[in-house]
Amino acid sequence: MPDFADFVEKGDEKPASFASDDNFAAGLLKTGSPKCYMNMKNYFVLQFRRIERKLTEAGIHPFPGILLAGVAFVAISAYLFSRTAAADWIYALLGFFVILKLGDANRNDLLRSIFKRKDYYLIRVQENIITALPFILYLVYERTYLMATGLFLISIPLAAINTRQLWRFTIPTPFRKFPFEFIAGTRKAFWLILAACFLTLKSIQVENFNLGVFSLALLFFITLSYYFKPERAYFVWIYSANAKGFLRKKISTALICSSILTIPVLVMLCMVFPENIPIITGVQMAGYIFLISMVLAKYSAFPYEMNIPQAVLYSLCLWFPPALLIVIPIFFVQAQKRLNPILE
Amino acid sequence: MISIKGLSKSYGNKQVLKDINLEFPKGGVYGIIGENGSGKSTFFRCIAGLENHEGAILSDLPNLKNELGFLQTNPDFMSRITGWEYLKLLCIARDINDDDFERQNIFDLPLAQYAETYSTGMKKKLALLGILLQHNEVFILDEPFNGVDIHSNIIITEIIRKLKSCGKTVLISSHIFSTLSDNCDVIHLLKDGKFVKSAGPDEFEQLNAGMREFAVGNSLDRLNIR
Repeated sequence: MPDFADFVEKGDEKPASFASDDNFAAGLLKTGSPKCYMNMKNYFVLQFRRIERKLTEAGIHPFPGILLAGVAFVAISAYLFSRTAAADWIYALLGFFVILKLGDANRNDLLRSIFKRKDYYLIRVQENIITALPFILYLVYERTYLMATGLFLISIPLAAINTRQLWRFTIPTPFRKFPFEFIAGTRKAFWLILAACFLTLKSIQVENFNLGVFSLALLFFITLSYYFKPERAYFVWIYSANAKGFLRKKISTALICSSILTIPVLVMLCMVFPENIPIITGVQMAGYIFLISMVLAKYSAFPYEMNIPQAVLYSLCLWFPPALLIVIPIFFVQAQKRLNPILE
Repeated sequence: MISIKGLSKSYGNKQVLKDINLEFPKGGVYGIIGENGSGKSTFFRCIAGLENHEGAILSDLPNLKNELGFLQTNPDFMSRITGWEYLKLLCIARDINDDDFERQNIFDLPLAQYAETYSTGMKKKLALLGILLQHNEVFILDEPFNGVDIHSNIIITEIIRKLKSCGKTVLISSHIFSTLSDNCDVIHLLKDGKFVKSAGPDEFEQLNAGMREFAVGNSLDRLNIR
Protein backbone atom coordinates (compact mmCIF):
# COMPACT_ATOMS: atom_id res chain seq x y z
CA MET A 1 0.00 0.00 0.00
CA PRO A 2 1.55 3.35 -0.93
CA ASP A 3 2.05 5.83 1.85
CA PHE A 4 -0.88 8.05 1.13
CA ALA A 5 -0.86 9.48 4.64
CA ASP A 6 2.62 10.92 4.29
CA PHE A 7 1.71 12.09 0.86
CA VAL A 8 -1.25 14.06 2.18
CA GLU A 9 0.64 15.31 5.19
CA LYS A 10 3.70 16.54 3.38
CA GLY A 11 1.92 17.88 0.35
CA ASP A 12 4.75 16.62 -1.83
CA GLU A 13 4.41 15.50 -5.36
CA LYS A 14 2.67 12.23 -5.89
CA PRO A 15 5.15 9.43 -5.04
CA ALA A 16 5.93 7.08 -7.87
CA SER A 17 4.64 4.08 -5.94
CA PHE A 18 1.37 5.85 -5.38
CA ALA A 19 1.02 7.04 -8.93
CA SER A 20 1.58 3.55 -10.20
CA ASP A 21 -1.01 1.97 -7.95
CA ASP A 22 -3.36 0.63 -10.61
CA ASN A 23 -6.17 -0.11 -8.19
CA PHE A 24 -6.15 3.39 -6.89
CA ALA A 25 -5.98 4.96 -10.33
CA ALA A 26 -8.80 2.73 -11.60
CA GLY A 27 -10.95 3.82 -8.69
CA LEU A 28 -10.60 7.41 -9.73
CA LEU A 29 -11.80 6.80 -13.22
CA LYS A 30 -15.46 6.71 -12.42
CA THR A 31 -17.04 8.81 -9.72
CA GLY A 32 -19.23 6.76 -7.46
CA SER A 33 -17.75 3.44 -8.59
CA PRO A 34 -17.25 0.78 -5.86
CA LYS A 35 -13.49 1.21 -6.20
CA CYS A 36 -13.87 4.91 -5.71
CA TYR A 37 -15.73 4.32 -2.44
CA MET A 38 -13.03 1.86 -1.44
CA ASN A 39 -10.47 4.57 -1.94
CA MET A 40 -12.52 6.99 0.10
CA LYS A 41 -12.67 4.36 2.82
CA ASN A 42 -8.92 3.89 2.49
CA TYR A 43 -8.50 7.60 2.95
CA PHE A 44 -10.23 7.54 6.32
CA VAL A 45 -8.44 4.36 7.40
CA LEU A 46 -5.16 6.05 6.57
CA GLN A 47 -6.12 9.16 8.52
CA PHE A 48 -6.69 6.87 11.48
CA ARG A 49 -3.29 5.28 10.87
CA ARG A 50 -1.71 8.73 10.89
CA ILE A 51 -3.14 9.36 14.34
CA GLU A 52 -1.83 5.98 15.46
CA ARG A 53 1.62 6.77 14.08
CA LYS A 54 1.73 10.16 15.76
CA LEU A 55 0.85 8.61 19.10
CA THR A 56 3.46 5.88 18.61
CA GLU A 57 6.10 8.45 17.69
CA ALA A 58 5.22 10.32 20.88
CA GLY A 59 5.87 7.11 22.82
CA ILE A 60 2.19 6.43 23.58
CA HIS A 61 0.53 3.15 22.64
CA PRO A 62 -2.36 3.98 20.27
CA PHE A 63 -5.13 2.11 22.09
CA PRO A 64 -4.68 3.62 25.59
CA GLY A 65 -3.72 6.91 23.90
CA ILE A 66 -7.03 7.17 22.04
CA LEU A 67 -8.92 5.93 25.09
CA LEU A 68 -7.22 8.50 27.26
CA ALA A 69 -7.95 11.26 24.75
CA GLY A 70 -11.63 10.27 24.79
CA VAL A 71 -11.76 10.26 28.60
CA ALA A 72 -9.95 13.61 28.72
CA PHE A 73 -12.40 15.06 26.19
CA VAL A 74 -15.40 13.99 28.25
CA ALA A 75 -13.77 15.15 31.51
CA ILE A 76 -12.89 18.60 30.13
CA SER A 77 -16.36 18.90 28.59
CA ALA A 78 -18.03 18.00 31.89
CA TYR A 79 -15.81 20.48 33.72
CA LEU A 80 -16.60 23.23 31.20
CA PHE A 81 -20.34 22.66 31.42
CA SER A 82 -20.19 22.62 35.21
CA ARG A 83 -18.28 25.91 35.35
CA THR A 84 -20.06 28.18 32.92
CA ALA A 85 -23.52 28.71 31.55
CA ALA A 86 -22.11 29.63 28.15
CA ALA A 87 -20.39 26.28 27.70
CA ASP A 88 -22.62 25.42 24.75
CA TRP A 89 -21.41 28.53 22.93
CA ILE A 90 -17.77 27.76 23.73
CA TYR A 91 -18.30 24.21 22.61
CA ALA A 92 -19.97 25.08 19.35
CA LEU A 93 -17.26 27.65 18.57
CA LEU A 94 -14.50 25.18 19.38
CA GLY A 95 -16.10 22.62 17.08
CA PHE A 96 -16.44 25.26 14.39
CA PHE A 97 -12.74 26.18 14.53
CA VAL A 98 -11.59 22.59 14.56
CA ILE A 99 -13.63 21.96 11.40
CA LEU A 100 -12.33 25.16 9.84
CA LYS A 101 -8.78 23.85 10.33
CA LEU A 102 -9.59 21.00 7.96
CA GLY A 103 -10.17 23.54 5.22
CA ASP A 104 -6.45 24.25 4.97
CA ALA A 105 -5.60 24.98 1.37
CA ASN A 106 -2.43 22.90 1.15
CA ARG A 107 -4.05 19.62 2.06
CA ASN A 108 -7.21 20.37 0.14
CA ASP A 109 -5.40 21.28 -3.06
CA LEU A 110 -3.81 17.87 -2.93
CA LEU A 111 -7.11 16.10 -2.26
CA ARG A 112 -8.71 17.99 -5.12
CA SER A 113 -5.97 16.88 -7.46
CA ILE A 114 -6.46 13.24 -6.47
CA PHE A 115 -10.22 12.84 -6.19
CA LYS A 116 -13.00 13.69 -8.55
CA ARG A 117 -14.87 16.86 -7.64
CA LYS A 118 -17.92 15.07 -6.23
CA ASP A 119 -15.82 12.57 -4.27
CA TYR A 120 -13.69 15.35 -2.91
CA TYR A 121 -16.73 17.12 -1.47
CA LEU A 122 -18.09 13.83 -0.14
CA ILE A 123 -14.82 13.21 1.67
CA ARG A 124 -14.69 16.73 3.02
CA VAL A 125 -18.29 16.62 4.28
CA GLN A 126 -17.72 13.24 5.95
CA GLU A 127 -14.46 14.45 7.40
CA ASN A 128 -16.12 17.54 8.85
CA ILE A 129 -19.00 15.56 10.33
CA ILE A 130 -16.66 12.96 11.88
CA THR A 131 -14.59 15.77 13.41
CA ALA A 132 -17.66 17.59 14.71
CA LEU A 133 -19.25 14.40 16.03
CA PRO A 134 -17.69 14.35 19.54
CA PHE A 135 -18.78 17.97 20.03
CA ILE A 136 -22.27 17.29 18.63
CA LEU A 137 -22.74 14.18 20.79
CA TYR A 138 -21.74 15.99 23.93
CA LEU A 139 -24.03 18.92 23.07
CA VAL A 140 -26.86 16.41 22.59
CA TYR A 141 -25.96 14.79 25.92
CA GLU A 142 -26.22 18.22 27.54
CA ARG A 143 -29.58 18.69 25.77
CA THR A 144 -28.45 21.78 23.89
CA TYR A 145 -30.11 20.55 20.72
CA LEU A 146 -30.10 23.89 18.94
CA MET A 147 -26.30 24.19 19.17
CA ALA A 148 -25.82 20.54 18.23
CA THR A 149 -28.01 20.96 15.14
CA GLY A 150 -26.31 24.24 14.24
CA LEU A 151 -22.85 22.69 14.46
CA PHE A 152 -23.97 19.71 12.39
CA LEU A 153 -25.50 21.93 9.72
CA ILE A 154 -22.54 24.30 9.52
CA SER A 155 -20.07 21.42 9.12
CA ILE A 156 -21.57 20.62 5.69
CA PRO A 157 -21.09 23.96 3.87
CA LEU A 158 -17.70 24.34 5.55
CA ALA A 159 -16.52 21.52 3.28
CA ALA A 160 -16.49 24.06 0.47
CA ILE A 161 -14.31 26.51 2.38
CA ASN A 162 -10.69 26.76 1.39
CA THR A 163 -8.90 28.64 4.17
CA ARG A 164 -6.30 30.07 1.84
CA GLN A 165 -9.10 32.11 0.33
CA LEU A 166 -9.62 33.60 3.77
CA TRP A 167 -6.06 34.80 4.18
CA ARG A 168 -5.40 36.02 0.66
CA PHE A 169 -6.01 39.44 2.11
CA THR A 170 -3.75 40.76 4.82
CA ILE A 171 -5.43 40.67 8.21
CA PRO A 172 -4.41 43.83 10.07
CA THR A 173 -2.96 43.40 13.55
CA PRO A 174 -1.84 45.93 16.17
CA PHE A 175 1.55 44.18 16.35
CA ARG A 176 2.98 45.49 13.09
CA LYS A 177 6.03 46.94 14.79
CA PHE A 178 6.71 43.84 16.88
CA PRO A 179 7.41 41.01 14.45
CA PHE A 180 6.88 38.20 14.23
CA GLU A 181 5.22 35.72 16.61
CA PHE A 182 2.16 37.76 17.52
CA ILE A 183 1.60 38.98 13.97
CA ALA A 184 1.64 35.51 12.44
CA GLY A 185 -0.07 33.89 15.42
CA THR A 186 -2.90 36.40 15.57
CA ARG A 187 -3.56 35.98 11.86
CA LYS A 188 -3.63 32.20 12.20
CA ALA A 189 -5.84 32.26 15.32
CA PHE A 190 -7.90 35.24 14.19
CA TRP A 191 -11.22 33.46 14.64
CA LEU A 192 -10.27 32.10 18.01
CA ILE A 193 -9.38 35.59 19.26
CA LEU A 194 -12.70 36.89 18.01
CA ALA A 195 -14.38 34.03 19.86
CA ALA A 196 -12.54 34.90 23.09
CA CYS A 197 -13.61 38.54 22.74
CA PHE A 198 -17.16 37.43 22.07
CA LEU A 199 -17.06 35.39 25.29
CA THR A 200 -15.85 38.44 27.18
CA LEU A 201 -18.79 40.47 25.91
CA LYS A 202 -21.15 37.60 26.63
CA SER A 203 -19.79 37.36 30.20
CA ILE A 204 -20.47 41.05 30.68
CA GLN A 205 -23.94 40.74 29.17
CA VAL A 206 -24.96 37.83 31.40
CA GLU A 207 -22.79 39.05 34.31
CA ASN A 208 -20.96 35.75 34.48
CA PHE A 209 -17.60 36.37 36.11
CA ASN A 210 -16.27 32.84 35.52
CA LEU A 211 -16.90 33.16 31.80
CA GLY A 212 -15.10 36.50 31.76
CA VAL A 213 -12.05 35.08 33.49
CA PHE A 214 -12.17 32.09 31.16
CA SER A 215 -12.11 34.41 28.13
CA LEU A 216 -9.06 36.23 29.53
CA ALA A 217 -7.29 32.93 30.20
CA LEU A 218 -8.27 31.73 26.73
CA LEU A 219 -6.59 34.76 25.18
CA PHE A 220 -3.38 33.87 27.00
CA PHE A 221 -3.67 30.24 25.95
CA ILE A 222 -4.00 31.37 22.35
CA THR A 223 -0.83 33.45 22.65
CA LEU A 224 1.02 30.45 24.11
CA SER A 225 0.28 28.59 20.89
CA TYR A 226 2.25 31.21 18.93
CA TYR A 227 5.41 29.73 20.43
CA PHE A 228 4.81 26.05 19.74
CA LYS A 229 6.80 25.84 16.52
CA PRO A 230 10.41 26.99 16.24
CA GLU A 231 11.37 29.37 13.45
CA ARG A 232 14.27 28.60 11.13
CA ALA A 233 17.71 29.13 12.66
CA TYR A 234 18.31 32.00 10.22
CA PHE A 235 15.68 34.09 12.00
CA VAL A 236 17.55 33.71 15.27
CA TRP A 237 20.96 34.12 13.67
CA ILE A 238 20.02 37.60 12.33
CA TYR A 239 19.95 39.02 15.86
CA SER A 240 23.00 40.97 16.97
CA ALA A 241 22.62 39.90 20.58
CA ASN A 242 23.90 37.14 22.79
CA ALA A 243 21.54 34.43 24.01
CA LYS A 244 20.58 36.39 27.11
CA GLY A 245 19.89 39.57 25.14
CA PHE A 246 17.95 37.64 22.52
CA LEU A 247 15.73 36.01 25.14
CA ARG A 248 15.21 39.36 26.82
CA LYS A 249 14.06 40.84 23.50
CA LYS A 250 11.73 37.94 22.78
CA ILE A 251 10.23 38.04 26.27
CA SER A 252 9.71 41.81 26.26
CA THR A 253 8.05 41.60 22.82
CA ALA A 254 5.80 38.81 24.10
CA LEU A 255 4.83 40.85 27.16
CA ILE A 256 4.13 44.03 25.18
CA CYS A 257 2.07 42.23 22.55
CA SER A 258 0.14 40.12 25.04
CA SER A 259 -0.66 43.30 26.97
CA ILE A 260 -1.97 44.98 23.81
CA LEU A 261 -4.18 41.96 23.27
CA THR A 262 -5.44 41.36 26.80
CA ILE A 263 -5.51 44.71 28.58
CA PRO A 264 -8.79 45.85 26.96
CA VAL A 265 -10.39 42.63 28.21
CA LEU A 266 -8.75 43.06 31.62
CA VAL A 267 -10.03 46.63 31.94
CA MET A 268 -13.56 45.68 30.89
CA LEU A 269 -13.68 42.81 33.39
CA CYS A 270 -12.31 45.02 36.18
CA MET A 271 -14.98 47.62 35.46
CA VAL A 272 -17.84 45.12 35.40
CA PHE A 273 -16.62 42.90 38.25
CA PRO A 274 -14.81 45.36 40.57
CA GLU A 275 -15.17 43.01 43.55
CA ASN A 276 -13.05 40.45 41.71
CA ILE A 277 -10.19 42.71 40.62
CA PRO A 278 -7.59 40.71 42.60
CA ILE A 279 -8.61 37.49 40.81
CA ILE A 280 -8.67 39.16 37.39
CA THR A 281 -5.24 40.74 37.83
CA GLY A 282 -3.99 37.43 39.24
CA VAL A 283 -5.06 35.66 36.04
CA GLN A 284 -3.34 38.38 34.00
CA MET A 285 -0.10 37.95 35.97
CA ALA A 286 -0.30 34.16 35.69
CA GLY A 287 -0.80 34.61 31.94
CA TYR A 288 2.38 36.68 31.72
CA ILE A 289 4.37 34.11 33.67
CA PHE A 290 3.12 31.23 31.53
CA LEU A 291 3.94 33.22 28.42
CA ILE A 292 7.50 33.87 29.61
CA SER A 293 7.96 30.21 30.42
CA MET A 294 6.58 29.28 26.99
CA VAL A 295 9.09 31.53 25.22
CA LEU A 296 11.89 29.94 27.25
CA ALA A 297 10.50 26.44 26.67
CA LYS A 298 10.47 27.03 22.92
CA TYR A 299 14.11 28.06 22.80
CA SER A 300 15.18 25.39 25.29
CA ALA A 301 14.62 22.87 22.52
CA PHE A 302 15.67 25.09 19.61
CA PRO A 303 16.06 24.47 16.68
CA TYR A 304 13.75 21.52 17.31
CA GLU A 305 10.21 21.46 18.60
CA MET A 306 9.71 20.92 22.29
CA ASN A 307 10.35 17.28 23.13
CA ILE A 308 8.21 15.12 25.38
CA PRO A 309 10.09 15.77 28.68
CA GLN A 310 9.87 19.52 28.07
CA ALA A 311 6.20 19.32 27.16
CA VAL A 312 5.52 17.21 30.25
CA LEU A 313 7.40 19.69 32.38
CA TYR A 314 5.36 22.54 30.92
CA SER A 315 2.08 20.65 31.34
CA LEU A 316 3.00 20.00 34.94
CA CYS A 317 3.21 23.76 35.46
CA LEU A 318 -0.25 24.24 33.99
CA TRP A 319 -1.63 21.92 36.66
CA PHE A 320 0.70 23.06 39.41
CA PRO A 321 1.82 26.66 38.70
CA PRO A 322 4.30 26.91 41.63
CA ALA A 323 6.46 24.43 39.68
CA LEU A 324 7.23 27.36 37.37
CA LEU A 325 9.68 28.62 40.00
CA ILE A 326 11.85 25.60 39.25
CA VAL A 327 10.97 25.10 35.60
CA ILE A 328 11.63 28.67 34.39
CA PRO A 329 15.31 28.66 35.44
CA ILE A 330 15.74 25.20 33.91
CA PHE A 331 14.27 26.36 30.59
CA PHE A 332 16.35 29.53 30.71
CA VAL A 333 19.64 27.66 31.13
CA GLN A 334 18.71 25.16 28.41
CA ALA A 335 17.65 27.96 26.06
CA GLN A 336 20.96 29.75 26.56
CA LYS A 337 22.84 26.55 25.75
CA ARG A 338 20.79 26.03 22.60
CA LEU A 339 21.09 29.61 21.38
CA ASN A 340 24.75 30.26 22.10
CA PRO A 341 26.11 28.33 19.11
CA ILE A 342 23.83 30.31 16.77
CA LEU A 343 24.25 33.75 18.27
CA GLU A 344 27.90 33.86 19.27
CA MET B 1 39.32 41.25 6.13
CA ILE B 2 37.92 37.76 6.50
CA SER B 3 40.49 35.06 6.96
CA ILE B 4 39.59 31.40 6.63
CA LYS B 5 41.98 28.87 8.09
CA GLY B 6 41.71 25.12 7.74
CA LEU B 7 37.96 25.14 7.15
CA SER B 8 36.53 21.64 6.83
CA LYS B 9 32.96 20.48 6.96
CA SER B 10 31.44 17.02 6.78
CA TYR B 11 27.90 15.71 6.69
CA GLY B 12 28.26 12.24 8.14
CA ASN B 13 30.92 10.49 6.08
CA LYS B 14 30.70 12.97 3.23
CA GLN B 15 33.33 15.68 3.46
CA VAL B 16 31.92 18.76 1.74
CA LEU B 17 34.71 21.27 2.46
CA LYS B 18 38.33 20.17 2.74
CA ASP B 19 40.87 22.23 4.63
CA ILE B 20 40.11 25.58 2.97
CA ASN B 21 42.51 28.46 3.51
CA LEU B 22 41.49 31.73 1.93
CA GLU B 23 41.46 35.46 2.59
CA PHE B 24 38.93 38.08 1.56
CA PRO B 25 40.46 41.54 2.05
CA LYS B 26 38.07 44.34 3.04
CA GLY B 27 36.31 46.29 0.30
CA GLY B 28 36.53 43.67 -2.42
CA VAL B 29 33.94 41.76 -4.40
CA TYR B 30 34.70 38.05 -4.55
CA GLY B 31 33.01 35.50 -6.73
CA ILE B 32 32.66 31.83 -5.86
CA ILE B 33 31.92 29.44 -8.67
CA GLY B 34 31.54 25.70 -8.75
CA GLU B 35 29.26 22.93 -9.88
CA ASN B 36 26.01 22.09 -8.10
CA GLY B 37 26.92 20.34 -4.87
CA SER B 38 30.50 21.62 -4.88
CA GLY B 39 29.96 23.16 -1.44
CA LYS B 40 29.37 26.86 -2.21
CA SER B 41 26.32 27.25 0.00
CA THR B 42 27.92 25.21 2.79
CA PHE B 43 30.99 27.43 2.56
CA PHE B 44 28.80 30.51 2.93
CA ARG B 45 26.82 29.01 5.79
CA CYS B 46 30.07 28.19 7.60
CA ILE B 47 31.29 31.78 7.25
CA ALA B 48 27.93 33.02 8.53
CA GLY B 49 28.17 30.69 11.51
CA LEU B 50 25.07 28.75 10.56
CA GLU B 51 27.00 25.47 10.35
CA ASN B 52 29.36 23.80 12.78
CA HIS B 53 32.75 23.28 11.19
CA GLU B 54 36.41 22.59 11.80
CA GLY B 55 38.96 25.34 11.37
CA ALA B 56 38.72 29.05 12.05
CA ILE B 57 37.01 32.01 10.44
CA LEU B 58 38.69 35.20 11.57
CA SER B 59 37.77 38.79 10.95
CA ASP B 60 38.96 42.25 11.91
CA LEU B 61 35.37 43.10 12.81
CA PRO B 62 34.47 42.80 16.52
CA ASN B 63 31.77 40.24 15.73
CA LEU B 64 31.52 39.22 12.08
CA LYS B 65 28.04 37.68 12.47
CA ASN B 66 26.58 40.94 13.67
CA GLU B 67 27.77 42.84 10.63
CA LEU B 68 27.08 40.19 8.06
CA GLY B 69 24.14 40.17 5.67
CA PHE B 70 23.44 36.74 4.26
CA LEU B 71 21.21 36.35 1.22
CA GLN B 72 20.36 32.66 1.02
CA THR B 73 19.85 30.78 -2.25
CA ASN B 74 16.19 30.17 -1.49
CA PRO B 75 15.13 32.67 1.14
CA ASP B 76 12.01 31.58 2.92
CA PHE B 77 9.68 33.46 5.17
CA MET B 78 7.43 32.76 8.08
CA SER B 79 3.83 32.31 7.09
CA ARG B 80 1.46 35.27 7.31
CA ILE B 81 4.14 37.91 7.60
CA THR B 82 4.04 40.77 5.13
CA GLY B 83 7.07 42.08 3.30
CA TRP B 84 6.99 45.20 5.48
CA GLU B 85 6.93 43.15 8.68
CA TYR B 86 9.82 41.00 7.45
CA LEU B 87 11.92 44.09 6.87
CA LYS B 88 10.96 45.38 10.30
CA LEU B 89 12.08 42.08 11.85
CA LEU B 90 15.47 42.33 10.18
CA CYS B 91 15.90 45.91 11.42
CA ILE B 92 14.77 45.10 14.97
CA ALA B 93 17.22 42.19 15.04
CA ARG B 94 20.05 44.66 14.52
CA ASP B 95 18.58 47.38 16.76
CA ILE B 96 17.92 49.63 13.78
CA ASN B 97 14.99 51.95 14.31
CA ASP B 98 13.85 52.31 10.73
CA ASP B 99 10.47 51.72 9.18
CA ASP B 100 10.44 54.01 6.19
CA PHE B 101 10.50 51.00 3.94
CA GLU B 102 8.21 52.31 1.22
CA ARG B 103 10.75 54.99 0.32
CA GLN B 104 13.61 52.48 0.30
CA ASN B 105 11.64 49.88 -1.67
CA ILE B 106 13.76 50.13 -4.81
CA PHE B 107 12.35 46.89 -6.22
CA ASP B 108 8.73 48.12 -5.97
CA LEU B 109 7.74 45.10 -3.94
CA PRO B 110 4.17 44.81 -2.65
CA LEU B 111 5.21 45.20 0.98
CA ALA B 112 1.66 44.96 2.31
CA GLN B 113 1.30 41.43 0.93
CA TYR B 114 2.31 38.23 2.69
CA ALA B 115 5.92 37.49 1.78
CA GLU B 116 5.21 33.78 1.37
CA THR B 117 2.95 34.61 -1.57
CA TYR B 118 5.76 36.39 -3.44
CA SER B 119 7.30 34.83 -6.53
CA THR B 120 10.84 33.38 -6.34
CA GLY B 121 12.41 36.56 -7.68
CA MET B 122 10.37 38.80 -5.39
CA LYS B 123 11.38 36.73 -2.38
CA LYS B 124 15.01 37.13 -3.33
CA LYS B 125 14.62 40.88 -3.76
CA LEU B 126 12.85 41.21 -0.41
CA ALA B 127 15.59 39.24 1.35
CA LEU B 128 18.25 41.37 -0.36
CA LEU B 129 16.46 44.57 0.58
CA GLY B 130 16.32 43.33 4.17
CA ILE B 131 20.07 42.80 4.51
CA LEU B 132 20.75 46.14 2.79
CA LEU B 133 18.58 47.93 5.36
CA GLN B 134 20.71 46.39 8.12
CA HIS B 135 23.76 48.43 7.02
CA ASN B 136 26.08 45.44 7.16
CA GLU B 137 29.82 45.57 6.52
CA VAL B 138 30.03 42.18 4.84
CA PHE B 139 27.54 40.68 2.40
CA ILE B 140 27.23 37.08 1.33
CA LEU B 141 24.99 36.80 -1.71
CA ASP B 142 24.26 33.20 -2.63
CA GLU B 143 23.05 33.28 -6.22
CA PRO B 144 21.53 36.76 -6.05
CA PHE B 145 20.66 36.85 -9.75
CA ASN B 146 18.83 33.55 -9.76
CA GLY B 147 15.12 33.91 -10.60
CA VAL B 148 15.30 37.68 -10.73
CA ASP B 149 14.03 39.68 -13.74
CA ILE B 150 16.39 41.61 -16.05
CA HIS B 151 15.44 44.99 -14.62
CA SER B 152 16.23 43.85 -11.09
CA ASN B 153 19.41 42.13 -12.28
CA ILE B 154 20.66 45.53 -13.41
CA ILE B 155 19.70 47.06 -10.06
CA ILE B 156 21.46 44.27 -8.14
CA THR B 157 24.62 44.78 -10.24
CA GLU B 158 24.52 48.48 -9.41
CA ILE B 159 23.94 47.70 -5.72
CA ILE B 160 27.06 45.51 -5.69
CA ARG B 161 29.07 48.32 -7.30
CA LYS B 162 27.71 50.77 -4.74
CA LEU B 163 28.62 48.44 -1.87
CA LYS B 164 32.14 48.10 -3.24
CA SER B 165 32.50 51.86 -3.55
CA CYS B 166 31.42 52.16 0.10
CA GLY B 167 34.20 49.79 1.15
CA LYS B 168 31.95 46.83 1.95
CA THR B 169 33.12 43.27 1.40
CA VAL B 170 30.91 41.20 -0.88
CA LEU B 171 31.01 37.46 -1.54
CA ILE B 172 28.84 36.26 -4.41
CA SER B 173 28.09 32.93 -5.95
CA SER B 174 26.46 32.60 -9.31
CA HIS B 175 26.04 30.08 -12.09
CA ILE B 176 26.13 32.85 -14.69
CA PHE B 177 29.77 33.66 -15.26
CA SER B 178 29.15 37.09 -16.79
CA THR B 179 27.39 38.32 -13.64
CA LEU B 180 30.56 37.56 -11.72
CA SER B 181 33.10 38.75 -14.27
CA ASP B 182 31.22 42.08 -14.44
CA ASN B 183 31.38 42.61 -10.68
CA CYS B 184 34.19 40.69 -9.04
CA ASP B 185 37.78 41.52 -8.20
CA VAL B 186 38.66 37.86 -7.82
CA ILE B 187 36.79 34.69 -8.74
CA HIS B 188 37.51 31.49 -6.83
CA LEU B 189 36.70 28.11 -8.31
CA LEU B 190 35.43 25.53 -5.81
CA LYS B 191 35.69 21.91 -6.85
CA ASP B 192 35.10 18.84 -4.71
CA GLY B 193 35.26 20.87 -1.52
CA LYS B 194 38.53 22.66 -2.36
CA PHE B 195 39.36 25.95 -4.02
CA VAL B 196 41.37 24.86 -7.03
CA LYS B 197 41.82 28.18 -8.79
CA SER B 198 41.66 31.90 -8.07
CA ALA B 199 41.55 34.33 -10.96
CA GLY B 200 41.85 38.11 -11.20
CA PRO B 201 40.06 40.19 -13.90
CA ASP B 202 42.80 39.61 -16.49
CA GLU B 203 42.33 35.86 -16.14
CA PHE B 204 38.51 35.79 -16.20
CA GLU B 205 38.31 35.08 -19.92
CA GLN B 206 40.74 32.23 -19.60
CA LEU B 207 38.87 30.83 -16.58
CA ASN B 208 35.56 31.02 -18.44
CA ALA B 209 37.03 29.30 -21.50
CA GLY B 210 38.54 26.60 -19.34
CA MET B 211 35.23 26.00 -17.58
CA ARG B 212 33.36 25.90 -20.86
CA GLU B 213 35.81 23.39 -22.21
CA PHE B 214 35.55 21.29 -19.05
CA ALA B 215 31.75 21.41 -18.95
CA VAL B 216 30.92 21.05 -22.61
CA GLY B 217 33.97 19.64 -24.38
CA ASN B 218 32.81 17.44 -27.20
CA SER B 219 29.75 16.24 -25.31
CA LEU B 220 27.30 18.10 -27.58
CA ASP B 221 28.47 16.04 -30.52
CA ARG B 222 26.81 13.06 -28.88
CA LEU B 223 23.42 14.79 -29.22
CA ASN B 224 23.71 14.81 -32.98
CA ILE B 225 21.92 18.18 -33.22
CA ARG B 226 21.32 19.19 -36.87
